[in-house]
Amino acid sequence: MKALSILSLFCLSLIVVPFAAAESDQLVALQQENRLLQRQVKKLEAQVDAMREEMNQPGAERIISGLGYIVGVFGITGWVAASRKKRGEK
Amino acid sequence: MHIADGVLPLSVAAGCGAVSLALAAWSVRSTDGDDLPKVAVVTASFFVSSLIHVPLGPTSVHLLIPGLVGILLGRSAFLSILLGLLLQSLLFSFGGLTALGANALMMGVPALLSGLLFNRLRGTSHKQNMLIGALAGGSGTLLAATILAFLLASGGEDFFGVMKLAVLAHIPVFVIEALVSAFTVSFLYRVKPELLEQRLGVVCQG
Repeated sequence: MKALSILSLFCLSLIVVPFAAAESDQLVALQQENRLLQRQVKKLEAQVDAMREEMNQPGAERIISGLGYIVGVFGITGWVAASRKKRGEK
Repeated sequence: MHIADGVLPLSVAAGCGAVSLALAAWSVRSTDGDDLPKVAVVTASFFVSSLIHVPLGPTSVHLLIPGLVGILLGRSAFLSILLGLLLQSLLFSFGGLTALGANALMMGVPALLSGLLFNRLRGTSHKQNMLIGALAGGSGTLLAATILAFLLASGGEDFFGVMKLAVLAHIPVFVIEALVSAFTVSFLYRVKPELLEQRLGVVCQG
């Protein structure tokens, strides 16, 4: 009786152990993949931060348009001032 | 050194806006029509100068040049700074639109005082002009940092804490601005000294 139970336990372990081994292999693989993905996500996050920083830096077109506004505003003001002066002289 | 939207209490922001509007009107009235090209050039320089970053350890600070604007423009400086800040706010998102009045006071009042200081003390020699230029340029920025601390204190921050931080962070800027102002004044004194004269007048004499 005892021998039989030992034998059956042995047979059971023959069936279960390979599965368990496969499972732990899978687990290790998944953990590795997870670590890899985490590293990649971190890299992407850093890239997004850098891009956001870059987008906050005004580009050449904004600088030039600002200068254009200044030239325009003072041009119009000067024009008005000059024409008023002329009218005053008449 | 720009105040963003929503930092200041509404009453302070509105009050600063009203005061700077009045100052701007006064500044326009005291601008000579023949000086407009000069005002335009200085405004453009002021507008762009804030993009010049000076790396400083982990952070970086940028030029402000309120002192130099004041030296060159006198009473017109406030108008110039208000326009420069408006465009910086719209195009570079430096400082919020609702805080424009506060920002204009923070930079414009030191500019006016620096201009006054330079005009009173400049004397006639090249060396004296240069030294007073440096003094006016450096103190303009120092005063701007003090006003910044004062304004932030109105929003509930601890005045001396903020002031210490603002002043400490800008020590290199004071030095650089003093140097830039000294160099500019010295150069203009040699090349085109009439640019350093502050004329008074009215834009729209009818």
